[in-house]
Amino acid sequence: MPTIKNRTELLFLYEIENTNPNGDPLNENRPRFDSEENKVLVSDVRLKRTIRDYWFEYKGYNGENGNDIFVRETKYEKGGLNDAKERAKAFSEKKEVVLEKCIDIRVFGGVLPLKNDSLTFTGPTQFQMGKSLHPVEVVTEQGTGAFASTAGKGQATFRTEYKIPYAVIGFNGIINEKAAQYTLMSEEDKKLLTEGIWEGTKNLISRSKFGQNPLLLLSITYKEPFYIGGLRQRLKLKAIDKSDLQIRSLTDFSLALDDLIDELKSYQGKIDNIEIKLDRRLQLTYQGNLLSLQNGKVTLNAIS
Amino acid sequence: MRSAKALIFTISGEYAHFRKFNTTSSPLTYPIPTPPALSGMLGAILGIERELAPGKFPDGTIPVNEVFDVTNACFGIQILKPIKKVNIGFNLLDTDKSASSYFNISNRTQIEFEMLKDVYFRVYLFHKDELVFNELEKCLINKKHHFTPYLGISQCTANLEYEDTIEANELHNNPGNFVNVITALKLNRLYEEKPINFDQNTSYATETMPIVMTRDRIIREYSEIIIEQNGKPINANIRSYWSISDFGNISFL
Repeated sequence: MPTIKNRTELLFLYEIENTNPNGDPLNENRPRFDSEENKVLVSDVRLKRTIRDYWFEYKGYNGENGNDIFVRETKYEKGGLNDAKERAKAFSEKKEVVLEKCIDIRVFGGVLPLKNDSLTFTGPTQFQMGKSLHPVEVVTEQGTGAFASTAGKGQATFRTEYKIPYAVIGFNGIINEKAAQYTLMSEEDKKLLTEGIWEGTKNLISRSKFGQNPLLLLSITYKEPFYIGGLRQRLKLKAIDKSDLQIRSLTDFSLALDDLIDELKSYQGKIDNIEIKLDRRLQLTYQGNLLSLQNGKVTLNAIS
Repeated sequence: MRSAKALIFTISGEYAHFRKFNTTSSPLTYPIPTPPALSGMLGAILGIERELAPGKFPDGTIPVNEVFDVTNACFGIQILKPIKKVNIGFNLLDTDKSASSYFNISNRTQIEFEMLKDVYFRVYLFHKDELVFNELEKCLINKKHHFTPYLGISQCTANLEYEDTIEANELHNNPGNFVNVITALKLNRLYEEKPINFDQNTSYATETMPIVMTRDRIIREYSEIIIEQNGKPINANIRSYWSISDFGNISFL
């Protein structure tokens, strides 16, 4: 399959409600938090895991029919380590086979310590750390567990959870067509990537991630090897009749796209096309006016 | 008096990590990109391929370390936003045991990375090879980057903005005469007796940084560097420096 030809820049926004979007393993699994700006952080690998899980669960990248995910969790496996050796054998320890089968290596790159063929692929797709568009606070919740600490005890254990009441989180991403020539990322892979970002975020059924909802996915395809960079930083979230910390739903804020749209306009000549996927409840504004939806699509007349 | 063309551009990003050579499992970062890191970043823009293995390059590739070798290129680095460091714990794959652990991940390892936050640097670049210089200038002006440039690790993608191409002049300085220099300073470029006129209200830091790296990833030169962490000029008794109008006095690493 031919590899992708154009550079693409991504902006992805999603909302979380009463969840822990990404626990910090070195901080009692509290949400990753930037205490300088009071914003919640989500690591790039969390988003990649979301996408991988979606490919695995819903798109048949589960080792059958020559489609696989390279960076797999043991939870998927029945037999444990024996399977690992078999999987290694199935790839015949060759990079060509890994690249042909494993969509995640084609899209995100990876380090392959194969017996006869060790290689480092910088992923064509890079996401920066995700960050909330507004200050948030972390709440601590105590709950009772369903299990006792030892058998026969009458009381269940207590647990502590840390949650964010509400946040809109944004990710910047870039897909580099030159790096794609090395990992053989195709247009089809790109489609599965954007689908995975959107649907994967929706379909995470882990208890701590329930309440995630994708809001906006902007995919800008360029004619030239060019990208604007820092799309999330150009958005301005404005709370409506509330303080930033009181935002609890989509009706509590609007998102000013002025900087973003102006930037897109100034580089119009370099842009091949823009695809946008959107939760229609999201209130987007440009020059103080609400952008309208027509047939489920934003009319980008404001842009052209 | 020598003069040369300086290519001036800025680098910025939300996070960055330029790993110190002496830290492995708890990676610390330099406050500024090292010259080998900058060479790699510019190599990415030009589309110079990385090595397949240490010292092994694809056919026809001149390694970035040689394209931006000290005999060809000089870097000056100015801090434009105060240096901020934060620690972020990452959940990495534990691939310690054997290659087959890659195929089935059961263990994770938590590593705390020291990261730079909200970085903003200005780079002054001299390059002897006019072809490379002009090509870089063209790429920077048009934001035409071959590979995606990043700040030390690949998820920290970088924003690069072209600023100017200006003729710079080298000026020699006498011992005992202090000059304001806006870039990070290599201590061995200063006169030994009272090298710096320290200002009580600023915050200095020194680092031992790799300056010259060979194609085999062997460091040929480490140097002690002094920076002012908020980006203020350093009043230094320097042997010689380069003056660039509208910008200031700079020195190379």
